[in-house]
Amino acid sequence: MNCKEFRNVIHDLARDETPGDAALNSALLHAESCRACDALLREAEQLTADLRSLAAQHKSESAPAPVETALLEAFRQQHSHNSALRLRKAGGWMAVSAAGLAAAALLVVLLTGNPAGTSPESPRPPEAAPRESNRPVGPREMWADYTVEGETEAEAAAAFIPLSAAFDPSWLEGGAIVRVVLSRPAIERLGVPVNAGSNGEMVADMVVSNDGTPEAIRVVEWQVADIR
Amino acid sequence: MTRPGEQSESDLLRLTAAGDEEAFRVLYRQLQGPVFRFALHMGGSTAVAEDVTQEVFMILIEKRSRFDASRGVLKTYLIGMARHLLLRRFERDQRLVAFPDGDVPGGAPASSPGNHAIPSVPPQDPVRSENIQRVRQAVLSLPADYREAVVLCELEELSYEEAAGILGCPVGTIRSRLHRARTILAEKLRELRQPERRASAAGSPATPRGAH
Repeated sequence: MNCKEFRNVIHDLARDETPGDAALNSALLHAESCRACDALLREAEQLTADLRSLAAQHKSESAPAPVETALLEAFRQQHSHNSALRLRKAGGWMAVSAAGLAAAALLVVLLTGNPAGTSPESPRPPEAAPRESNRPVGPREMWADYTVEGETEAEAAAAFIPLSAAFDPSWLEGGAIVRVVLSRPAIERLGVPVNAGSNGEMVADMVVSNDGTPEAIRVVEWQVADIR
Repeated sequence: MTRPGEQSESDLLRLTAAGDEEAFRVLYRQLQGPVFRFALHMGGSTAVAEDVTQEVFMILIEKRSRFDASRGVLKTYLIGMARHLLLRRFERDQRLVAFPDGDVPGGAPASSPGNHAIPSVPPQDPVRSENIQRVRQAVLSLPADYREAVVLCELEELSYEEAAGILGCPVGTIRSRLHRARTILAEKLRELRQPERRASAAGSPATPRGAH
């Protein structure tokens, strides 16, 4: 083993991770014959000991109690919110089903000219209710803070450009809308088309999911670059 | 009947999803330590580590269905989430605060108002304590890619495979990053020890010139 080969495995040696007995013997033989490499090995072993001391010093380190208290409170709230949500969703689906049945009945009347159930022929299968009514009614109050003058919440929601296929403007479960300042390259990386003449930075509102994924964006204003 | 403390991670997750607060508490107590320490060593501040730990478990509460047990254990999933949140913080803070070392791209942000430096454990041996403090500073000054490898493999004692799973890169990359990080650390610690050696040499009784 030469010095270059030795230095490739030096940290494995110092961490007691060797590629095999042959390599270990070869490395140790080299260290015996090369003072510089021997010194480096001692230094690497000292580093291992120092890092283990640091790890040991922090081994029992943990988040303080208020973090647990806050999380348990959030857990309780989330669970009660989920229970309420399940009830709301169930109610919503019942409404959708009722609307679907009503729509089907109306359709039968319109197509046959007879009230449903009185036609001699079998009634047609009910058609799907309009897409909008199939959507669960989600918490839309988030949009209220992001409307501009004269804009409705629905218009504000529609103004966002989706960045993720999962984005559903009618259903914002968790996550947040944050105001961000983005440079032109950052905007382009998000896949948002930018006019050739747009310079400076973009102030935007971004919908971010709970795990940090950007879901949608809309421009608030452009800030012109400060050219000196 | 099995108590929450004796149940498997998947059972605890299932119970947590069903709203069992005790199961969530047990899960939190089992896993918050590694998440908190990872954030502490990466961010260099207890305030940041607390925030990140809280955010990670909030996400678990709200989006627990996203965890896929076939892709790894919950611990590595949560550390991966902490990493994601920290990187976003670093990106944001980069525009606001200076790095502790001007030559360290992607390094930890310098302490800013509201940030508290990592508290050192009361020293039993002042020399040893000082040494550990130096090592901590050296780790914090590493570029983020290298610091992650050191924190995961050296301080949290994860395997290369586990670290690779968290960082989403091949095992070979972890090994080479760790080697590079250790080389940088060794150099930094050598530099940090130099002034101390010079000082102790200066403090030792000097032999007057021409005494012989």
